[in-house]
Amino acid sequence: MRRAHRSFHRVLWPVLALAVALGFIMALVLRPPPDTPAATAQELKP
Amino acid sequence: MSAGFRAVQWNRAKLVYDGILLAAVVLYIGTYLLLAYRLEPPKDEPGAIDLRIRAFGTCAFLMLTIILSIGPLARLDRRFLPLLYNRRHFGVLTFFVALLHASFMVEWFAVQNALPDLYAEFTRIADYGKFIGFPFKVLGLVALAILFLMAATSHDFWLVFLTPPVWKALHMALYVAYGLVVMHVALGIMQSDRNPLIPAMLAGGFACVTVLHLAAGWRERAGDRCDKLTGDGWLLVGPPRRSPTRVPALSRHPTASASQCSATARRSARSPTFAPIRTGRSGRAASSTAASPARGTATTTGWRMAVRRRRTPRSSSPTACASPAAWSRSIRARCRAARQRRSDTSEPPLLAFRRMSHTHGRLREHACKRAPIACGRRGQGAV
Repeated sequence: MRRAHRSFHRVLWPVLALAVALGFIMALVLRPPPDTPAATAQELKP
Repeated sequence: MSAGFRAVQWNRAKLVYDGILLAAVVLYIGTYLLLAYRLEPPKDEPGAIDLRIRAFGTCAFLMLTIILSIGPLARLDRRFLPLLYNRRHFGVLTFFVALLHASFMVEWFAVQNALPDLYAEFTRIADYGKFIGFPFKVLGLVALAILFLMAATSHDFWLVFLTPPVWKALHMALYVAYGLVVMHVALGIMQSDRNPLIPAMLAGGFACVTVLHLAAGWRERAGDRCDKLTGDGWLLVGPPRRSPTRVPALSRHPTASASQCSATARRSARSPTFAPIRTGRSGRAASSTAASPARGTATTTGWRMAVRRRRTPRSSSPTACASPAAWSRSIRARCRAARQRRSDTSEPPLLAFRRMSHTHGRLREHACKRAPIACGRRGQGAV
């Protein structure tokens, strides 16, 4: 591994970590709520 | 390829490594399926295939996480170097596990006669504009394609054919593949399955790999600064195992200019030493400033070989200086010249002893034969 590779590493990993962390947190926050069987049953009842 | 080409140069260490690797993969997948069948048996065939998809998918993710951790771990601590030895087989096995994961996914659609749905999932252009609802299988497919590229070129033939710098640059695409895999899981199964183990596995694995890479990069920064500062053909390496007799004496007298360069080595070695590398422009420039004897005066095979390989007269080993004071003056002159060169031009110095800095296989061994004392931390830690 050359110095250029190591320099690239040092730039790449913070950028990659930020991008993936942002995407992961958004995916976690924006995921749809779980289906609640009780609520579904109530809706079906008249 | 020559007549002597061999697909894999097997030896005992590789056989043991691969045996342990295969056993671990079989054990993981077997345990996963056994536990899943015990806890919640699948109701139908697609359910059973789904379990296999998950087992192979998690196995591939964990393997990728370990592969990406080996490099920085070996750079941080030499005790992890044995793991680095046969990492390419680890990578190839990871590709096959990921390929099985993908094939089970296709089978899942096939047993339900729903292959057109899979095709539609890939070709629904509107979904590519969404975040939640993005066709996550595409991310996995791209990551699989990158893994295939890595697995196909994991051979000494490709290392030589592409040249080590290009080969290494190509294999750095694995980092992107890892990011794609994380998002493949985050936008895929994590959206429908509320099991907290999934985000924990993703976040834990990625954080671990990131921290290790950042720590290794931070630690190597001082060494790279030193290379830039004294970029006249001398590279700091590890402890002198077969060093010339004068090296220990010199290493006991680190000068003010050399102290910064020695900082990295002191962390991992008892006494730092210098080993020659061939440089391009910078080496030639240094020859006019260094106060050191003529070439060919070094004492060991390694030094002699390296000095003889130089095309133009240049500063030779600091070990050849008459006294610590002379060596100190020499180092100061080199640093001054390096600073001057950096201010004169923005062009980086050319590292010509490229094969020295590569790790795997025969190239490193070949370089070690020519310059035994140069097989220090820098050579072995490169991944």
